[in-house]
Amino acid sequence: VLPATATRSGSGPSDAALVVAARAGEDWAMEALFRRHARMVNALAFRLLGRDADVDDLVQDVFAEALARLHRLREPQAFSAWLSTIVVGRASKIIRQRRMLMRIGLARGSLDVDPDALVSSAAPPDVAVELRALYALVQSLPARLRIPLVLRRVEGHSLEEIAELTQTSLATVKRRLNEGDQRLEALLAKGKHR
Amino acid sequence: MTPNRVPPARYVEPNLDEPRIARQYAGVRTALARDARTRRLVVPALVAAMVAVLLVAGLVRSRSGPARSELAAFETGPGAGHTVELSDGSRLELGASTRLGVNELANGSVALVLERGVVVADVAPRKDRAFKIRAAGHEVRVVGTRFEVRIDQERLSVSVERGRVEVAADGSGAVVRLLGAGESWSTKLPSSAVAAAPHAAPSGATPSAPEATVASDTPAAEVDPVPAPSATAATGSSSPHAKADGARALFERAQRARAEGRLADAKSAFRELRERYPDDPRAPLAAFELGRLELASSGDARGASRSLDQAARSAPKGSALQEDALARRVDALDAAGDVKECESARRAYLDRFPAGVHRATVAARCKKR
Repeated sequence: VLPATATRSGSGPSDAALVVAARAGEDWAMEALFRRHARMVNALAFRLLGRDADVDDLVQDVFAEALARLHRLREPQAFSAWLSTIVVGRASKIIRQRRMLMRIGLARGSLDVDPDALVSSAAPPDVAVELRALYALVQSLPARLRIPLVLRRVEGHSLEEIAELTQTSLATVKRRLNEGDQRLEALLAKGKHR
Repeated sequence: MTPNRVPPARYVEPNLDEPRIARQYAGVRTALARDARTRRLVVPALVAAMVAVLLVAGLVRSRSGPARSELAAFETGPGAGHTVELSDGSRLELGASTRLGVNELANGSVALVLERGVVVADVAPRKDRAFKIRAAGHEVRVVGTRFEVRIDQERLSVSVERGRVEVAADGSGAVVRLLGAGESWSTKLPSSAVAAAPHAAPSGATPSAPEATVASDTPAAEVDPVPAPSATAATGSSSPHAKADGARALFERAQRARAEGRLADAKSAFRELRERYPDDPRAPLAAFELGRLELASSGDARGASRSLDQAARSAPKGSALQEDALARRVDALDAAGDVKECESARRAYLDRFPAGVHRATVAARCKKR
């Protein structure tokens, strides 16, 4: 049972303390880590994948991997960032797999993102338009370009943060964002997002 | 489009409620319990297998004189596979009835030998380390990727899920094929290689060195997977049976025929699919595979060029298939010796995919001879 104090308010145990307890096999600590970060992982997965279909599987895989490999986490207080890195890696893998399945005709449909279903009705009109355009465009891009673009334009991460999350160099991130921007601009110029 | 000053992430949120979170956590617990069970079963089995194999390797050395360079080996029985995790995070997923020898496992180099079965390698990217898997006279060289190597009856197959690998002829080191994500390659094994694999197993304990035998019997010029076509290759089958099958059945028939070495049948089926079902999602891939077969099996570079052009035109814009088809078309025209058309195709590829994975290979084509 999850202790009542294990919240994000700061009054509960820190991530580092939970990681140490979870490493010792404490089930409550594992559940606390899951519940504390489940919404973040769900949201990040949803925005990276651009659809709801694979989110549950991804979330389960991410936490199963993270909780099984807690002994590898050198800085227990960095659990959240580490988790995000795993989410990015798993999402990238799913996007690649889907593109491969579509390529060989084993995945139906041409769209793996539904821009209209993604954006909240509470979004200001200009933000909603830009988000829909972005998601309509990025689905044609390979994962190596799509992931940095979403991390930058939707999540608002810095270049350094994206490098950390994607496990690539800063130069690679800059190059991929530049290439992604150019391809987005080209697609926009052709009106393909409409 | 420019990045927003305020990240709009808050407007892209999944529908998340307590029952959904509870279901997810139940899934996590199930996965953790399954992993724990697997570890409990796999580790003793692997240790036992390694000990047994090491003992047998010792016998081989004492009988044959020259020592095998194998440090250890992983071996699975017919019932189930195993997963091995290396210290750098790379994972090796062994299928059933597989034997994977470890020749080198150091910080700067990992060298494995697949003697039979199948291994899926998920290799952590590291520029400072060479990662190789030798199998049946070939060497697969890796830099940060996930791929499968399989010895199945009379064929060696390599397929890449992400990243890139080089397939090289063992011994000569000549690169046979460069494979990108989603690509696969296979070759029919010479009879010596097929016979060698079982003898490499512990029970064989033969004094011969299977790797050396395979390498000498498999020169680089002979490793292409496809034999010469039959005289019926270009007839373009339109049998009533095939017409009734539909696109899926045609595609499966073509794949099966190719795997069995019946290349004329494979080409016929791919051609029929392309012509009868041009709107089917498999049609671009059928044209692509047809082009590859025409180029590799019959040396019909111009026919291959036409098929690959069709594949590139019908593939989704900007897709990996379109990129591969355009790149292969350059290869075909280069093989045909048509420098002018080759240069035009090369421009088409580089214009459309200036940062494409084949750019270096394509840029080197179309040289006047």
